[in-house]
Amino acid sequence: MAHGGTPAAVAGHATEAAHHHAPQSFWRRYVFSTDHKIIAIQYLLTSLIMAAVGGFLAMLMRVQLGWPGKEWPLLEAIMPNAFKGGQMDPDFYYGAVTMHGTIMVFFFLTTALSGGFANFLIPLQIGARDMAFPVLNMLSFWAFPVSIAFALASFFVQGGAPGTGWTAYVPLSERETAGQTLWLISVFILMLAFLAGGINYITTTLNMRTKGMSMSRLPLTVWALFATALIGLFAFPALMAACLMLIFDRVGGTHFFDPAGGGDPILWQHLFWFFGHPEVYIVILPAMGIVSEVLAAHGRKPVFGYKYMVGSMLTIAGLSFLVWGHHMFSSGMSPTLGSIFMVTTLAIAIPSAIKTFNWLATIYRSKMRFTAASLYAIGFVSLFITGGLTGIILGNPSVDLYFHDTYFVVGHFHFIMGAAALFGVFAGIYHWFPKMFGRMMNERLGKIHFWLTFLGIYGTFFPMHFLGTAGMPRRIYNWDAYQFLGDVATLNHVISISAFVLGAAQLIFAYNLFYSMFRGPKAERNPWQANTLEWWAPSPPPHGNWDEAEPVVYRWPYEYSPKDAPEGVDHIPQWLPEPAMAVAGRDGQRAR
Amino acid sequence: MHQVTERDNRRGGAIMTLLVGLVLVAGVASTVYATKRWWLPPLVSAAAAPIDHMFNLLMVTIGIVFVLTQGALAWFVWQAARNPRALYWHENRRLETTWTVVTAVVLTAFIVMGYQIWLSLHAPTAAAAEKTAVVEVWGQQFFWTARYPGPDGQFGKTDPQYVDFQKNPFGIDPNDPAGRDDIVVDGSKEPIVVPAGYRVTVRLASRDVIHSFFVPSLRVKMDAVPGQVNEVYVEPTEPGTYEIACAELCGVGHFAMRGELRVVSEADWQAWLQERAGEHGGTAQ
Repeated sequence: MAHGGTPAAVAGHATEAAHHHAPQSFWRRYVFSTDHKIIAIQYLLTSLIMAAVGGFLAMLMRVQLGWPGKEWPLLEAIMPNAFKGGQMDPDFYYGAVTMHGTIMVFFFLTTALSGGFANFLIPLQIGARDMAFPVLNMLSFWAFPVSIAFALASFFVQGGAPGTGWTAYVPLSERETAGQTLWLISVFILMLAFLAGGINYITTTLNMRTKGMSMSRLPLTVWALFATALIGLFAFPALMAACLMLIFDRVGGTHFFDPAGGGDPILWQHLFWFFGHPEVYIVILPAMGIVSEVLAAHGRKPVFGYKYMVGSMLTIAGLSFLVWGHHMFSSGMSPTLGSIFMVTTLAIAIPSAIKTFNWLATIYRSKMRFTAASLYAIGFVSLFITGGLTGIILGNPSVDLYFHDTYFVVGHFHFIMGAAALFGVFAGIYHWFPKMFGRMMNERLGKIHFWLTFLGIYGTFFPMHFLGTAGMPRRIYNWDAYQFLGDVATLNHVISISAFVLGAAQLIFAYNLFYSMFRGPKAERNPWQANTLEWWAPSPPPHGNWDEAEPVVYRWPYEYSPKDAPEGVDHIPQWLPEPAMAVAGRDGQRAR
Repeated sequence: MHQVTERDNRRGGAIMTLLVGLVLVAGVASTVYATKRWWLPPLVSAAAAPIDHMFNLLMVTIGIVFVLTQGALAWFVWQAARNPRALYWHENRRLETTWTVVTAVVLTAFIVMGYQIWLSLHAPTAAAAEKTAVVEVWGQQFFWTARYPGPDGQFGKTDPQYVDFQKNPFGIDPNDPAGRDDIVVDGSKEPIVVPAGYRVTVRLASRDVIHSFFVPSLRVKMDAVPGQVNEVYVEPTEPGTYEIACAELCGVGHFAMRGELRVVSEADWQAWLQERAGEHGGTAQ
């Protein structure tokens, strides 16, 4: 099972003394751990629990939207405050809207990808023993539960959770009850944590790469997470500043955003979206990286256009700061600015299209193994195409005037930063689970989970485009009050039922995840026969990652099905030196 | 190594092909069906006609790209389940250049067209400018109010000292002759009236938080932002009553901020102005 000869031994490099980690107490090892892998798992599991909370809120919203005005005595019995008299209370509905968005964007997707996967993959894939700043890493994780506590506490203060949406537009958010202040503090703490995390990822990627791991040999996941951290470095401070200013407005008597005191409500929108649009890419870039990796490893084919993949990610990262105004076409800003944001917005579609075509070319004539991980990666490509195309409609400001703040937008961004990013998370979990926990997940359950999720996602979010085309505004608690929406009842039933199927399918995943964590069959070092360095470490890797010396890197990470390889060899891992290529065949056979 | 037989794997690939194929077929079919049932409401605005044209063009284009790319995905997945060995092929500059340039050309065409429409929405055309009307629309939690300059076409001065929520909620100065014939309409009680065949300037303002004035049939949406006045032009063509929705979350009553816009013929408009002249309104506060 173990790979023959450490690379150091094979290549004759001087071995660095192996790190020895003394046995640690339970608390030090699993709770206040500085080990990047434990922190990654902490981030991942916490964010999955938050996803369940956010998903539950979404289900409640779909109960209301599917059958507005209907009474639900059972739900009233369970949640008497939310369902006063059997019908959902509008105040609760808007609180659910806000917290669903906040939880899914901040507490689930950003943390799962930039907290979970970044922590797990960056050191392992670059051949480092840990992050550059392990203690900072631990602190940045522990700020996360504090942030969650503030956000969830808002449900229990007078007035409940804020009803201003995750965008918290002023002046409404200046007038909202105390829950809004808690929300702002929560977001501020989280941004601080992400910023600390981002600095750690950037430093680690730049400084801690092992011998031979040049930037041009980085796996695409590391490139994606690195680009994400760079975006965060510039985006998070804008939101932190905005949150602080709004906290001052609310509790300190300043008037940054209040026109009554000379402030400007549009300033909030500029600050928020200067963060908010890059945030979309903070969520989608890591998913793109994971998908590239999974498609190559499970398709036994090199990623197509590695250089273009990296280039388009960096282009997206740069352009993401120039498009925020497309959220504000109807805010009354100068039409000249509107046309500029149209150009930049449609320009960002070019690198996105390049990536899509490169994934298609990667799948083309691959020898795909249809595992749960690769199904999610293929599903991601399908979702990204669908969601990306509707973005072209929204990027046209004159057309956007109609679609802005309708369900068309809800459908669009749920495809991209909801569903596609979620598929990235699932692809990543199914792919790296063996490395994380040293056990395999159940593939059959994984596939059933995928089929239901894929159909549930399309059934939920595709019809939302029709709702938007018919003119249904988002954040409308009872659309049935509008005559022009008289015909959308069917659509809303379909969407709600699909959403419940989608929600129920996640129970299969939860079962599979927790069962396999403790009872799954033991995983080998490299169950997928992948090329990247993490698969050379034991499963799960010990504290310090590498048993003996750190690996040395000899090639790029996508040497799958090489032309002149010996019979039976369909991959050459990054850690195998040239002379060992000939033995790689036998070794590869044994490893199987 | 995770073991799967070739046969199982082919079946897995077939199911995935089927799923993507289903998305393709159901996506196109449901969109075609939706054009009959859940599409843009009938257009009653001259100025907005290019928006609908642009939308149709974009829909057709992305529809074609959707079919091509999802179709390619389904086909490649089908193949990938059957290939004996993957192709070692990971770089092709010509291919990369081709799809980059083609995408860029298509998007540039959209930018040019979109720019012209965007301009036309903001710069009044000469022909349309002949007959004009102005209406001030105020958003507040949770209804719309409108003020008209009356038959003289001049808005009177307003001053907070004259605000009387029972009789004069806008605080129109009774000493200003231009304001005496001003008309105020409480949109929570009756429709806001605009003339057909006119180029109507809607001046949007807000009394409290941000609202958004959305009239789906006119394809118009503009935020009402406290502290600033946003102008938007509409050219209603068909007399009738159309719904106004608030499109920006403005508080717990957001969903109830429904209004109506009544488009009337030119004769009815003039008669209405004469009849209502000097009604300074009265909203329950």
